[in-house]
Amino acid sequence: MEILKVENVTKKFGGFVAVNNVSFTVNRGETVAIIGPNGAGKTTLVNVITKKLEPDEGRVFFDGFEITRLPPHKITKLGLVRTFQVVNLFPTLTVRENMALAGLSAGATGEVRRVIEMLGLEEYTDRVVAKVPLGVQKLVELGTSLLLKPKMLILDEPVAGLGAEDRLNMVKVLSELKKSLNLIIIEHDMDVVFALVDRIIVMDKGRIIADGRPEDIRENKLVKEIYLGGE
Amino acid sequence: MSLSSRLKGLVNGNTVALLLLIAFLAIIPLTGHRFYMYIATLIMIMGMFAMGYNVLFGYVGLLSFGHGLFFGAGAYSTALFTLKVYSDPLVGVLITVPVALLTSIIVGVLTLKHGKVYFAILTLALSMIFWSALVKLRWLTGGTDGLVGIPKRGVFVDVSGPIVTYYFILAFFAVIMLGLYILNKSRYGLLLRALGANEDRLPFLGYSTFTLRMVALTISGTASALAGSLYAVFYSVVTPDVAYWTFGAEPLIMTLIGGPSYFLGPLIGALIFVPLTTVVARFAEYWMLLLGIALLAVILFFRGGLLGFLESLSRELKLGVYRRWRF
Ligand SMILES: Nc1ncnc2c1ncn2[C@@H]1O[C@H](COP(=O)(O)OP(=O)(O)OP(=O)(O)O)[C@@H](O)[C@H]1O
Ligand SMILES: [Mg+2]
Repeated sequence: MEILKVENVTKKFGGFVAVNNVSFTVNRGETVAIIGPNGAGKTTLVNVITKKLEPDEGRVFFDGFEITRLPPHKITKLGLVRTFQVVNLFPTLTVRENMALAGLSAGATGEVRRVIEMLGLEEYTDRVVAKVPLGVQKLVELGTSLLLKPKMLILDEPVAGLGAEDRLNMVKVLSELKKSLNLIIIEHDMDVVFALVDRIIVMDKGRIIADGRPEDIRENKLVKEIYLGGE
Repeated sequence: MSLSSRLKGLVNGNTVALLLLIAFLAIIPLTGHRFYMYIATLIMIMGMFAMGYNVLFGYVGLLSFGHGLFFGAGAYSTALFTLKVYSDPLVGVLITVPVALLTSIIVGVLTLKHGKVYFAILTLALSMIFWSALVKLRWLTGGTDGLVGIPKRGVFVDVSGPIVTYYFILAFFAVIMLGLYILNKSRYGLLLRALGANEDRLPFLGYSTFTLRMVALTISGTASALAGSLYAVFYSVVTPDVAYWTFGAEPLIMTLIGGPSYFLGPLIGALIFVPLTTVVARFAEYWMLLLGIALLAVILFFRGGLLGFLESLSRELKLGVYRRWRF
């Protein structure tokens, strides 16, 4: 049963086609990675799906509803939640306040404490977000996303900029989460990708160039040439 | 107990400061000094106006040049209602609330969807239109002469004595200040601050930014309109001046002087601004000069206003960091 369906989506910036006629579906329970070189159009694709940006063409369906014309707050309410490649929080508010905003939105204020504990953020609760380490900020962003009770969570580079220890911690948290919700992970770190996902979608120059099981993608010649080979 | 820690205990809580101020205002009539009462009344009215203004400016980060419209709408609705419909100051003030809600929604629909710069311009434009209407609709508003003889004696309350007027205004002032304080501490206060901190993120937490901005505008507009309403009761006269755009900029000036990131900033600004205007404004050219220099100094050197300056001073002197002054 499919939960997300992207149909012929195109996004242009002026004459430049950042996402070029992309289609794919994600089934319930699947954990998917979207990979591809810098500028491939991964973030733009997520922006269009979640309506951070308007698509030029194509349609998007989530959990049985067409969401192409919905504003972002309604898409979020439907259970499609995302994080941002560059941490995107309320920098002048505390960790607790950031979490509370999400809790309030989903009627889950009672769960703020539990999520803070689950992510091991107790010692940071009353600190202003701008002044906590990046690894903590990334966890806070994950925490706010979870409080929204998502059916699907799209994570744009969840470990980018993190040190080895924070990376491991994040992978641990995500491998727990994937049991209970659909994850889409955009990530450059192949160890993280191979550790977590059932399926990999490879993008290059705005198009999907490969889509399959991790073992197959690893062996895919085109992918090796364009992406993995470059590392 | 050392002096500094005692000081800390005193000035640390916004509530304590607010209650002290209200208590102080409450004893002013006991001096029997009419001029002090006059100044204190204006501080309460302009303080309410500025505190209401700052819900939009300080919390949400929306600059309005048109708040004279709300103040004027409050003043004129009270004047018209008490003169033409029902002669009672209390009902006349309370009637402002639905008027303000309606005005805010209309203003919001017209201004909130076009970005921050256009919001500033659109509010300015609307307040100019409103002012022109007050001047032109002579049959209703009395034109530039305004409306006179706004009754102080009514069916429910009689505030015809100066001391009663004073406490009548103080009561509203106290209720609105405490209301704003509770708002500030509530989940709605948190939402409004979030709007100011990173508006673009909110839709991805499931919030409609338009709705939140509308709520902020409505709170701000209602507090401003109530200030205007009390102004009408106080003077028994309203003229279109109260809706003029330069008057609508006064809460902005007061807020900048006091400190826009602090709960009590606008009120502190009024505490400084009102006595100065009353005393110095007689020498009009010096007043403009002084105001210009003051604003320049605030923006260039004391961006946080007086409270911002005090916060950094207290940090220098290791009196502790008073983040709690902030909202
Ligand atoms: N708002 C924008 N305006 C103009 N061009 C943009 C905009 N956003 C992205 N682009 C361009 O679109 C292309 C795709 O960008 P996108 O951010 O989607 O890539 P990405 O696959 O996420 O890359 P990375 O791995 O570096 O995050 C890039 O060439 C980028 O410069
Ligand atoms: Mg990207």
